[in-house]
Amino acid sequence: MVTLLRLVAGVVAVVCLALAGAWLAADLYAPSFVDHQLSEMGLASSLSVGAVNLPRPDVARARDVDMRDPRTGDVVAHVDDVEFRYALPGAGGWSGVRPMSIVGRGGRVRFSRDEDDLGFVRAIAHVIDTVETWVEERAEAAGPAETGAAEGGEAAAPPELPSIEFREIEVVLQMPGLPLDTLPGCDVSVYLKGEDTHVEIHTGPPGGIVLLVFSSQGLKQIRVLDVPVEPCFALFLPEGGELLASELRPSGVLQFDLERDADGHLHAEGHLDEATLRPPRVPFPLERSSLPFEIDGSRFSLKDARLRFDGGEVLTSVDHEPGSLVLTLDVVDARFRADFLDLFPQGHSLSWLRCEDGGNLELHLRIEQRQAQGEAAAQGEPPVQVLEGAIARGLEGGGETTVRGWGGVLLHRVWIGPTPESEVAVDEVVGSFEIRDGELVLRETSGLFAEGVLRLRGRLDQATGDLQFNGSVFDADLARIRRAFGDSSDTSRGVTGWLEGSVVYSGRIGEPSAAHGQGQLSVRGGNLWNVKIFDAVVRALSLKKPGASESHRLEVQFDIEGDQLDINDLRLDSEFLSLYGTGRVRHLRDVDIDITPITVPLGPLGQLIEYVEAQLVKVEVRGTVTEPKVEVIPIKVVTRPVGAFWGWLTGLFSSDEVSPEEQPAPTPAPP
Amino acid sequence: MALASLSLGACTLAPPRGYYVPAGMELGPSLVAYREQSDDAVIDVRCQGAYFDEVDGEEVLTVHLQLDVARPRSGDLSFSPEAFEVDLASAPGDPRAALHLSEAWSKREHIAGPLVVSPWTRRPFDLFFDASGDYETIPDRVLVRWSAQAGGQTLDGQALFRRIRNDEPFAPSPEPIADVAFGMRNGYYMPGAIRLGDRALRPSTEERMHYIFHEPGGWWPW
Repeated sequence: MVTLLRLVAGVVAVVCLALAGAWLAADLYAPSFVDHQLSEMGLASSLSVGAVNLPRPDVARARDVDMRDPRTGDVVAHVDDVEFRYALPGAGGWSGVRPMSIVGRGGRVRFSRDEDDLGFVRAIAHVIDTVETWVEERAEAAGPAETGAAEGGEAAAPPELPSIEFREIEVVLQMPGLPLDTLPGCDVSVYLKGEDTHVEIHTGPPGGIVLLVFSSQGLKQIRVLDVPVEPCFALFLPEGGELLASELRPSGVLQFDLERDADGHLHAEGHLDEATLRPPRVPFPLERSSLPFEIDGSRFSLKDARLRFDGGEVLTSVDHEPGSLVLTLDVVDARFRADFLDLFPQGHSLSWLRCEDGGNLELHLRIEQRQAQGEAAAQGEPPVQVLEGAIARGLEGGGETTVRGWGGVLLHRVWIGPTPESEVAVDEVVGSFEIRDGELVLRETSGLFAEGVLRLRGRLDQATGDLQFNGSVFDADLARIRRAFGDSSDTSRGVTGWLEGSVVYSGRIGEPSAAHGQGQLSVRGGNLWNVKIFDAVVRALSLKKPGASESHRLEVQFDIEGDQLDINDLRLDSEFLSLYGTGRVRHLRDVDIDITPITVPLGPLGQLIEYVEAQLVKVEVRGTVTEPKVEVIPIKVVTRPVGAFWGWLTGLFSSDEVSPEEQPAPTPAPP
Repeated sequence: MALASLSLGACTLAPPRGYYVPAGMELGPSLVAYREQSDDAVIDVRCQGAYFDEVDGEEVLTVHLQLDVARPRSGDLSFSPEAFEVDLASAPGDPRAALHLSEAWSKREHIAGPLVVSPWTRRPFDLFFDASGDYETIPDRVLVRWSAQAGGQTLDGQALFRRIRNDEPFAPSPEPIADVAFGMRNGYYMPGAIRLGDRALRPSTEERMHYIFHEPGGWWPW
């Protein structure tokens, strides 16, 4: 067994011999001589020398020395200038060669990841293997004398390895689809330790070490200490892991130790310190993080990594192996940030919702992504491509991905409304939620709204944007709501009351036409006659406005169809005046309501007169909520026959039973 | 004694009700709440007045507080009933003892033990502190203290309310009563020229955060 030391010494001796011979033959013949020697050794495809110069018999200078990946032919290492110092060989085979030193300066080493390995590592392993074979063949052909074996048959001590150093080397880290990362000003030294060849790369300031250890069976160990890293850590991840790099774009200081045993099994442990991650769709970096990770074969795991962001930290774990990814996230007592909403798949479409920074967030999330072997085979894809399409798209894609979790949130202030002018503030919103089966389930969530409470519960399909919710408002001060809308006009002053309401709603985010729902609201304990619409009605009828001290009560039943609010029943009661109405409001602005005023107290007699009054006057309210236009339609004339009247009065006939001929005349169009 | 004080109040036309605003806060058109906020809780306290009413047939002076408590973290927030205290002393050295919680409700639920707020929820409470002893007059100020447990933390808090004078703008005392079923006007609990009778949860078909516990026990003659 030829030791690695002898192998390396052999390489050096061959090169030295070649160069010495070339010097003797003259510089002109040196390049072709070197090429010939390399070809004879089987290294022509791996090593090439651009030019050779022999300034002294014991010194050779080579320029543009390239090392190529034997598989791809790509140049994986290039040295601008290499100086070989050696002692001329004497009689006695290899023992006569005294290689002294090899010093290279300038150039680059390219670590480029492909599906099998790093090209540079593969090239070095190839050179070592080729030389080993060549030396063994020559040793067998030449016999003991030339191999330096002693008379007793024992091999002579291998020659000392010259010092091999390359300075001012640029280390280039490159992966498919990722930007280049370079470590300039690196120093590379090669030395033997036992039977292993060590390639030690000292990175430039602030300094770090990458140590590659080669045994006779190839790469044995990678040790990384204090290396500032951008995407390069993914170079060492199992296949597929580089997508973590492209998704998370990590940077930081890398420490890790990777070993490959004789069976080729990989095991690595390490941590990325002071790390910054920039996951897609996360609008803020995760900084000052510590990411302890472990690689065991094709399995990659990240355990209890703390990712800090402005306002809190995420405790996360990742377990990735071919065909599956499990990601857990735990956030406790993080300051709520408005841009958290961007993390939800439909967050950008929540145009009616605007959160301010401030509050508290707790979130526990478990994301599992699995791909069945059979399914992958059917698709003609290797099963390890579970992350194909990137993490974010995978999470949105559903299917193989399950996301489960729960959490709670406190939002100091939320603005709700279609436009900034019509927003209302809801303060101290507190609630909890659950994420399951692609749905965000909002448990009872409440906030303070105009001295009252706004309550919401519902569910949102994160893939489609379909949502259903029940909303309620309790004891909201109407005066404060109007002030919140910035409505301080004289007309609306004095509008008071306590608002209560509820709505059941279903729809789809971003599609107003899909809205559907129904609800009711009531206002009690206040004065509503200064609401612009009601004020306009009273003015148009030349009625005396009820006193402010009276207790008024408004009740409205409505349906929601798209952007239209159908007012099925509106009733405003005060002591001596009531308004009944039906109609619709479009876009929360345009009004189309017919109102019937009743000016008598209720009671048996009142019902009679109420009926008659209802036949006499109708008020059409058009225009907008803030600028209503009122038209009094006098006398629909008593078009209903007396029979219908008695039916209504006695309850023997419902109004639905009135024949078409008996229907009241259509309402005249407004001028 | 309380009955006597009622009679005395009637003779002097002194209203048997006191309405309150958090000390240091401006009186507005509607009832003003005191808010105490920390990482562990958001507590809104409204003093719904000090009034004479009847409990189990006995005339008592009652201080009625409404709490809306949000728990914005994991873990329960728990108020021990014994830890609630209402101090009516209007001046240092006032010998009147502090009142303790007599009755607590959360919506329609009568609370017998601790007042617990589950994590990430908001819960309303109606708290009644009854004095059946030497309390003859409506206090000028109400100081409420509480203590709550949240995990290993103890949250102590207090709120001081001052009585609203009748001649102040937005004073609720001259307001007419709202409709009886609703019971509120401008956020004040059953204001108006009425006295409050027997205290018991009144039936209601609707869901509310705070229900009504009185019916008018008669018109007050002023």
